[in-house]
Amino acid sequence: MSSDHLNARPARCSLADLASLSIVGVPLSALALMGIWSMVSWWQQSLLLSASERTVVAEALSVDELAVTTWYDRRGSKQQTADLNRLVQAKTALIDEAYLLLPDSAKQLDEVLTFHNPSSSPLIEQVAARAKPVIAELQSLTKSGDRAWLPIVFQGTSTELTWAMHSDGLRQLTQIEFLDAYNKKESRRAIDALALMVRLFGPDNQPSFTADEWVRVSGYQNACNLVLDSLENPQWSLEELDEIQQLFSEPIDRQKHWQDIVRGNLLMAYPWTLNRNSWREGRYSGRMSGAKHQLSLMFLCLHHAAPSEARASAEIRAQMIATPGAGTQPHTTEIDRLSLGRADWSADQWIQFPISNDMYWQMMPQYFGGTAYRMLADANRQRWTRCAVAIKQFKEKNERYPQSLDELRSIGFPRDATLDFNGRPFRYRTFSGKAAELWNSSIVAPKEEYIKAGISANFVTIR
Amino acid sequence: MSQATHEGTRSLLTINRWFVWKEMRQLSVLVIALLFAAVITLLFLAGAGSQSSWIHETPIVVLMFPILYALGAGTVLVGQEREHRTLHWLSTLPIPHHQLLGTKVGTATVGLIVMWFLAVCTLWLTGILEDESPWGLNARSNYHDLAPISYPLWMTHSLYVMLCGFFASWKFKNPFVAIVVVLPLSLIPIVIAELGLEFAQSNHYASFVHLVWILSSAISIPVMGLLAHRVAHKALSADKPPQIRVVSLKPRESETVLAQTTVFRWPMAAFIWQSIRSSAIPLAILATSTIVSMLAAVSWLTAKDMRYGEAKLVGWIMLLSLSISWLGVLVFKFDGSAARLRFVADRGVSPTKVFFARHGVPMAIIATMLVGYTIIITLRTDDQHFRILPSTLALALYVALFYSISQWVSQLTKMLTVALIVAPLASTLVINWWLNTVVNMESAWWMLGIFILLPMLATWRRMLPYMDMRGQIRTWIIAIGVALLIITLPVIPAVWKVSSFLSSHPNVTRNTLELLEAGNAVVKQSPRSIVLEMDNRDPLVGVFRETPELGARISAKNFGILFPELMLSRTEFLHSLRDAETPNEQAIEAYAKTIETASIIGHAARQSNRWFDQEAADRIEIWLVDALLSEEMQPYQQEPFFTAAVKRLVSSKARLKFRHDAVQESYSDTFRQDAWLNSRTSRFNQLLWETGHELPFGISVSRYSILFPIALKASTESPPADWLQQMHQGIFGDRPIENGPYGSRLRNQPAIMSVTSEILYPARYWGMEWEVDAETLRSSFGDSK
Repeated sequence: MSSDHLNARPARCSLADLASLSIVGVPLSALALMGIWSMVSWWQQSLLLSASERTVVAEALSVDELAVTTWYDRRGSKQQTADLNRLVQAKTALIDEAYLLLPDSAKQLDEVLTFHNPSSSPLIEQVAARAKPVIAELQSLTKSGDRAWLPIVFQGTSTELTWAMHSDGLRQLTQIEFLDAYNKKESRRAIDALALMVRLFGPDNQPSFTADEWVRVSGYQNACNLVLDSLENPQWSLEELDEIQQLFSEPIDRQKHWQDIVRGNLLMAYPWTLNRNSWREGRYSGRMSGAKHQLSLMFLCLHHAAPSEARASAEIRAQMIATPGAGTQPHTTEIDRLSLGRADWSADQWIQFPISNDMYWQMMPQYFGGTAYRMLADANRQRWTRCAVAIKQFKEKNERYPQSLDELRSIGFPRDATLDFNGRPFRYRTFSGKAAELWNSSIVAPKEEYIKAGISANFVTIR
Repeated sequence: MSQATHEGTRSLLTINRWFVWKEMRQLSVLVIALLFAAVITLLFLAGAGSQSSWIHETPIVVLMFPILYALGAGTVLVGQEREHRTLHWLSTLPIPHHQLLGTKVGTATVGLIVMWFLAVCTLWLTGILEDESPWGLNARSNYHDLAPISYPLWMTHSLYVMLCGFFASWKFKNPFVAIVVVLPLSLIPIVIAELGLEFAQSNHYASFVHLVWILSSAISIPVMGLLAHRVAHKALSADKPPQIRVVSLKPRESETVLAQTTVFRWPMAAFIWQSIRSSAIPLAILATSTIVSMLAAVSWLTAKDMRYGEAKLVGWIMLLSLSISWLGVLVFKFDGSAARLRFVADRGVSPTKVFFARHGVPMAIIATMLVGYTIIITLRTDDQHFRILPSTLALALYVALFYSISQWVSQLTKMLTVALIVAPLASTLVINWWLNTVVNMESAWWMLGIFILLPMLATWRRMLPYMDMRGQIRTWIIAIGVALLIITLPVIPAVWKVSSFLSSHPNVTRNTLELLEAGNAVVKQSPRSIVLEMDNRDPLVGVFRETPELGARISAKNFGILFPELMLSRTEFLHSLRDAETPNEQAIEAYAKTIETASIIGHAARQSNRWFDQEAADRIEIWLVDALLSEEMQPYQQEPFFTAAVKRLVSSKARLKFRHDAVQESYSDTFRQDAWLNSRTSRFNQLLWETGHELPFGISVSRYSILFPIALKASTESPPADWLQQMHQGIFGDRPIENGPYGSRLRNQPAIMSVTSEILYPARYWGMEWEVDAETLRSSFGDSK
């Protein structure tokens, strides 16, 4: 080979040239084309994302953290805040006392806060006596019509959990009040305690974030459980039963709760999702400060999300907000479907850095699906409680148990309230007219939807 | 006869001495390269890594180098003879084959002993293995339970690996193939041990596996030695004479077709074809291992059950990295590369053309792998399953770095074996450096692109001298420049960040030094403070009442008990008023006692020289002022308990002085001691002492060094206008102040609305409206002096 030949480029390409160049050229061209395609897709998807932001999540983009704090503060009037804060702090002293009185066998306060537990009665009596002023003030405060708020320090995408912790303490205090009244057969006081619980955790409650709603559901279900457990004893009069029935008939606007909490998530987490400084979140709380955590956050969070995935994330949340019927089976099914959905495939995902968003998409079902199921379980328990109380009312009126739940209509009980989470009547049976049993579901065996609804198999005996 | 024998022996000895010297010189390149890599790695571990990684990873890294030496020694001593075509010349020397072989093995063994000596000395000098003797057979690393660090085990194994290297080098003419064959051969004792464990189902992993491993290695040493001797003897023997064949002058039909079709008219195509032909076997091996390891790694990454899969996943990723690295090495190190490139250089071929032609095939293999990977991750349909997959871009950057560094090493080193061993090490070091700069220096991730481009540019720039086999010194100077750029480029922004932070916080360094110095001093117990014990509260309150100048120290736990009790007491009093038509004497008495207790404890806490107690005093006074000014207290304003409580409120001026003194004293020495003692119980102390700023190079700036100076200035009569902003920034960084406790959102509300039993944010209630209320109370009902 001469040097001229080696450096010159002949006009015609031989088959050997073609074969040799193809070995190198084809894979490199394929990779280059994929790179170009992905970049073009990135650009196209970015335009779609911008359009989507303008229409779907415009509010999320216009909102900054300050606005979200204000939004949180709008929970209620600040006039009563000092009183609420005082009561919440005072409650701590009472709960601390209750813990000091715990019998050796019990590790948790809730272990002894049960019906007719001889070992817990002195504790309940002692704490309830001390709690009287706090309960009375709480009754007065919650009846005033003004809503109080706790001026908490706002942390990132959720409240500080302070409210959640205090809520649980208030729940325990009201439970002590109820049990003490019930044990002493002071029905009026017991119903007042139930009413206080319903005001704290029922229709008046305004959860702003998922964690708040979980606490609310827990508090409300606790009130339901107290009523259900009390039905075994023939303590309540017909009028009292009617009053309890009314307490749990108040509709809870779960749809509004649902919209609020998903909206809160969208407002706070979405801009974060878009990597507007994704690790600022950690730095704020001080727990994950500094650069050393950047790498772990890069792998844990949506960092430099591909536009198609960021868009899908926002649009799915927007669809979730619009999904009607929170607290019903179709709602949970739809939320499940949306949670499991993900971005339509797009080549822009090839050049996001450093990893795919699978971890994020994996979290969606737990986060939103879990909340939807809690709401469903909450709605189910509300109806179950009402239905059980209605059976007791029927028994008191007619001196017999109803043959079927349809018979409850004769005392003006709506049919809707006899239906469980999947829209079928609760399972119900009587035992030779001596007792009745109402299950919290129409399903006998723990089927898939039963488990998915987060409802454990349970029944209440009405005597 | 005897004289002749003696002369002959002398002659042989002389030759042998020369031969030993030659062998040592050949090996020295490998030893120096490995020592250089070892030093760089250790420096990296010591400087850039954490204390934990230094302790846990160093033993493994140090033990790795004798093994790498063992892996390459045989290939260097035999492979180079083949490459320089001196093997047949050696066999013609008047040295018996066994002596020739013995000298090579002996020299390599001496080198291995030297490597082990250096490794043992290094670990001994660092003192890392003080806790566990590495001379025991069961010694394992703290880094991973399954990683043995037993010297006898690895020494025996390294001898076996070295003999495998000799066997493979004598057996296979291609040094690359020899190295590839050594890898599975060296794993045989480990595989036997693992299979033995499966068979024996022993519960004592380390003792069983290590015993079988060392026994297999020990038994394999003579076996491998014999095999190596046999193949070496064959290689050194005279080749069989070629068989005489009658060749037809007329070319066969297939040869004619081939000759016609393999006419290259495009030089680039010819170069590519030549690069494939010259290293067809290595390219085939590496292409296969690249694709297979990628597929295997993806299958493990997407596996539903990842139990026991992590080790296999890491193994496949390591094989992928090794394959990419060796593809890079093959760019400039292939069969007779130097001579072939010289051939084209002599004919004036453009070095750029040769550069791209040499890179073409390895890059095509990598591109094929990336395209395949992209197709796989795109087509996956199982959306229910949890997995983390790198994006195509991330994988491309990773493999590009390995490739770029390896081809650079390949151009810099003369020996293929050295390049094959050093290139993966260098690539691993560089990628770790990049990770380190991202994590510890807040370096930009795209710096990886520069790390990739620089070596590629360096090799392209030095292509002509490389082809001409000249300009080695200049090549090395450029290489050092590139290395320095890789090291320094990410450091520059980090240095800037640190210096700009320190210049904007001039107190940080000075205060830290002062505190450290003070911390070494003896704890000074303040004579004017005693601890408020809640179990013994009433007598102590009496003492505080009688001795107003005595300070009270309140723990976070005790404040958490006291404060809710104050709130409960007020609630009880309000409730008694609500229910009763006339004031209940008993309730008034109880509440009066609470007010008296609160005022005494508040006053005593105010006298304390500790910042935390000043915060407690603030909160108690907030409660007291709110209670005393409340509507329900109006009928009792002339009562002794009321006026006494008002008198115990300190003036605004005194409050400022108490705060300032307490912050000052806590700042200098006492607080430091208490902070450590109480750090588990007080979130206030934790908040002050935990890291507030984490700067590049692992520099942590605790909040105290920023917050104390601000608090000192804030506790004066003319605090800086922006002290609230500074406090907020010191704790919350760049988050909006309005969301935090120092913003007007909360500060414009009465303090009683937000005060709780937990003391957390320092100086939160300083300068708020309640202080004015306290002053009003003092002027109206107390002694305002």
